[in-house]
Amino acid sequence: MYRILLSLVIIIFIIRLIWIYRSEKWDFNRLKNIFIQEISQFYKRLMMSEFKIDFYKNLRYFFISISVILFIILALTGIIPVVFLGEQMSGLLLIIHVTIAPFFVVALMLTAIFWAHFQQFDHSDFIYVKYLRIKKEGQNPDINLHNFWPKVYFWLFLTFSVPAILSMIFSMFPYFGTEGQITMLNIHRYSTLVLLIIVLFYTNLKWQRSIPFRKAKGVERGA
Amino acid sequence: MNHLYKHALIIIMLSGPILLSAQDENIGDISDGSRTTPVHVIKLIDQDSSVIWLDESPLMPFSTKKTCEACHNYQIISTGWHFNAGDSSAVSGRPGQPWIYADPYSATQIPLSLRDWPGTFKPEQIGMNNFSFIATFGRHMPGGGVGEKEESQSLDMYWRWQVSGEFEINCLSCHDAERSHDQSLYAVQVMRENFRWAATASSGFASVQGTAKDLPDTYDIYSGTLPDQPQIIPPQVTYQLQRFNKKSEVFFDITRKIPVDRCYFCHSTKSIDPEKQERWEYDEDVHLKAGMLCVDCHRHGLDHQMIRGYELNEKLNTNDAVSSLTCQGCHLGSGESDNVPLTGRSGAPRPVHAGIPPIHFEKLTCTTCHSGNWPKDEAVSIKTSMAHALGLPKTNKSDYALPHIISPIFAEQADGKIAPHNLFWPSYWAEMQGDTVLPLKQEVFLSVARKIIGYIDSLATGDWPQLADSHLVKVLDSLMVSGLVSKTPVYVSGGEIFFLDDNKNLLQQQHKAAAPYLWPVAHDVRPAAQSLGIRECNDCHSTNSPFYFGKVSIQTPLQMDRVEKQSMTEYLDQNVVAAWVFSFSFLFRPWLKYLILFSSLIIFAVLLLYGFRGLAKVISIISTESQTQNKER
Repeated sequence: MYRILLSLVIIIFIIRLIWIYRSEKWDFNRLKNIFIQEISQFYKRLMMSEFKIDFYKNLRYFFISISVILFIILALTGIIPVVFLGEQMSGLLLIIHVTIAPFFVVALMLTAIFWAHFQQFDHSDFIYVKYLRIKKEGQNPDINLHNFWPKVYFWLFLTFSVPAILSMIFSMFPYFGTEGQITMLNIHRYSTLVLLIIVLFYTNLKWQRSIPFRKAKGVERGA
Repeated sequence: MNHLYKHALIIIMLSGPILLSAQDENIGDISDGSRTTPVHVIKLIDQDSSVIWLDESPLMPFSTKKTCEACHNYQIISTGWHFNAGDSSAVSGRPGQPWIYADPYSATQIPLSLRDWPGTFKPEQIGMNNFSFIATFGRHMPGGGVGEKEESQSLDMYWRWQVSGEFEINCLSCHDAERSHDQSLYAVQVMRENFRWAATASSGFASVQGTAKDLPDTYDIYSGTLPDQPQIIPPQVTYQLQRFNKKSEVFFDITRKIPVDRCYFCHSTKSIDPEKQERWEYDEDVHLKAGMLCVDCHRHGLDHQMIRGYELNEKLNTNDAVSSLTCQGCHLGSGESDNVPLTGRSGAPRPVHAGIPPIHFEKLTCTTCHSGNWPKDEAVSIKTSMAHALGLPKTNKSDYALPHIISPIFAEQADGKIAPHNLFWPSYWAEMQGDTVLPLKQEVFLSVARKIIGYIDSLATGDWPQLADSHLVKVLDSLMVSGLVSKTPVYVSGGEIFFLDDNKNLLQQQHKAAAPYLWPVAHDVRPAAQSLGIRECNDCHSTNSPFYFGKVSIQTPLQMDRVEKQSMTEYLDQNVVAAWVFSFSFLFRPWLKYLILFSSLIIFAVLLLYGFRGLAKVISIISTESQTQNKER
């Protein structure tokens, strides 16, 4: 069941990717530039001289960047054996997964500490929710750049990360028998599946916003 | 042509009832439901189907086939696992312990089997016919198979078989609960080629003297002694008179609940552990200690198709009852048929396996943690009944006697699961053509190798000699010039083959023909408290754990500077560095667990804190909105 769900999520994501590419005439050069830009920014943040300029801001971005990278590694090592090999994680992938996991949790904790304040919902988010109702009724407010959905994804990610982490940690203590272990494994699997879905939704949002063509289209439509 | 068809049809019609009756159950095979074991006070019948009377001369041994056949269908029974090795239509199943032809005088130990087990050779490949195969290994066989099938007896051995008799299934080997039953006497008779007399000798109410081995092929078993060779004593039976009643009937203490000692005769294992030299230091299988018998799990019907108990058993997919008699089926449940619970037979406890991740049950057999010797830094030598002729009066009790077998080796099975195995390194003289290496016939390598290396002193212990390169060169060269070998003679040992080049230089190379032979072990099962994992992960996941990094010695007669020791990871099909890194991570894993717990706590605290703050904000916004709306009104 889990394998089917996970495969479905990946397939839907790939279809979405292809759909964006075909319908939006996605410019790969631009994507490449964005990627290079992100990497170079990340590298600069790692440099102490850059850190000194805006220390806490850079630290904040540093932790979230680390969390994202480690999450990608964890997701890949977790997905490959399940989806492609149809078996539980073992061998080298397991070694990588369990070695990376503690660092991810620590990075996530620091991300939570450094980002929580900036991701609080405020009055503007309440207004945004009201705008959503207006949009449904046919009006077209410019809502794409609003920060509401990233906040939602942030808090959802943190919320589901707790069972994902604790289920594995508790299973490492001799408290649960085989049935308990399987339950814990399932909690871990389905929680991380939700985490993956959240990340993919967030990625989709980022892509939507990073495609200039879409905005141009919107202008055309508006005109 | 029509006549031919008619005759064929008549023959088929006439033989039909005979063929059908061969598959019928006899009176003793059909249970009336009573659990009482029937008392067997029965007449003894000899191989000629005559009742044995004590006043006859010469007295003949009773035939188990004829005696038991009166009530039990011998044909069906003879298809059983213990008897069907030579039957090409029988399923070979998971590789098991082979028969090992071991000869220290020629530095040979080679696995033989009548089953199609990869890595073994058929006896005829080393020039061993069925007669000599039985005479050599029948000591630990319950009879039947190639020992009693006429079609498996070669014509040139016809008269020899007539002297020794058929190697019938000895039902008493297992079913005789009599305390005076002596299976070692059976073994002695087989080695004397007294096949016909073997079961009688072991029965506890008869004794046998004499040796068929010494008799000429022309000997008539009804003629008594040889007048021209009075020093040769032909096999003679003496029955205990008091055991016969007036009807010439004898009481057999027959049981279906086979005593453990009967199984132990062929299925004993002795560990040669330098740290545990006394017998009392070892425990028996935990199931036996709980009062069970081997046959409580290894069950069968009339066909004697013993349930071997491993998960891959061919019958598992079709019969839930068979599945329920594996370790997993009995203790955990097979999860197949949910109509009737089959788990927990005989009160099998359901294990909790607290703290053991489920991946272990996908990658390991139950026996990995629970069976065999507790693994040590280096796999220890073992001796087994079948390989070392244990339990016989003149068994070589030396710990170094061939064949050299080591255990436990954790290796991958055909299904990809890891299981503990016994291992031995084949060493034999062979000939090579291209990439094919086949063993030489016995008469070839014995006649050549024994002359050259059979004098070395270490052989007194039953161990093989320490061979120098010069010995190898000499034997290989002798084989080449003898004219007995048409291809390149080679010596296979320690995972490599050794041969001479044109200039008679000794060369060596790794070859699949020299690969070790492994077979999985299931017993003795240790109690849960002495199973791997009882001291948590470190039992296996540490940088010096025998499970991953135990040493496997390469057993060979070749001088020690040539041989090395392997790591267990080679058999686990794992990279030694990766295994080490993974094991190393367990050093600081406890700290990481607490670090992760702490981090999770912080994340949870952040969620709680901002959750409450968000709630307060929502309440505040709703209140503000409500006030605004009220003002607007």
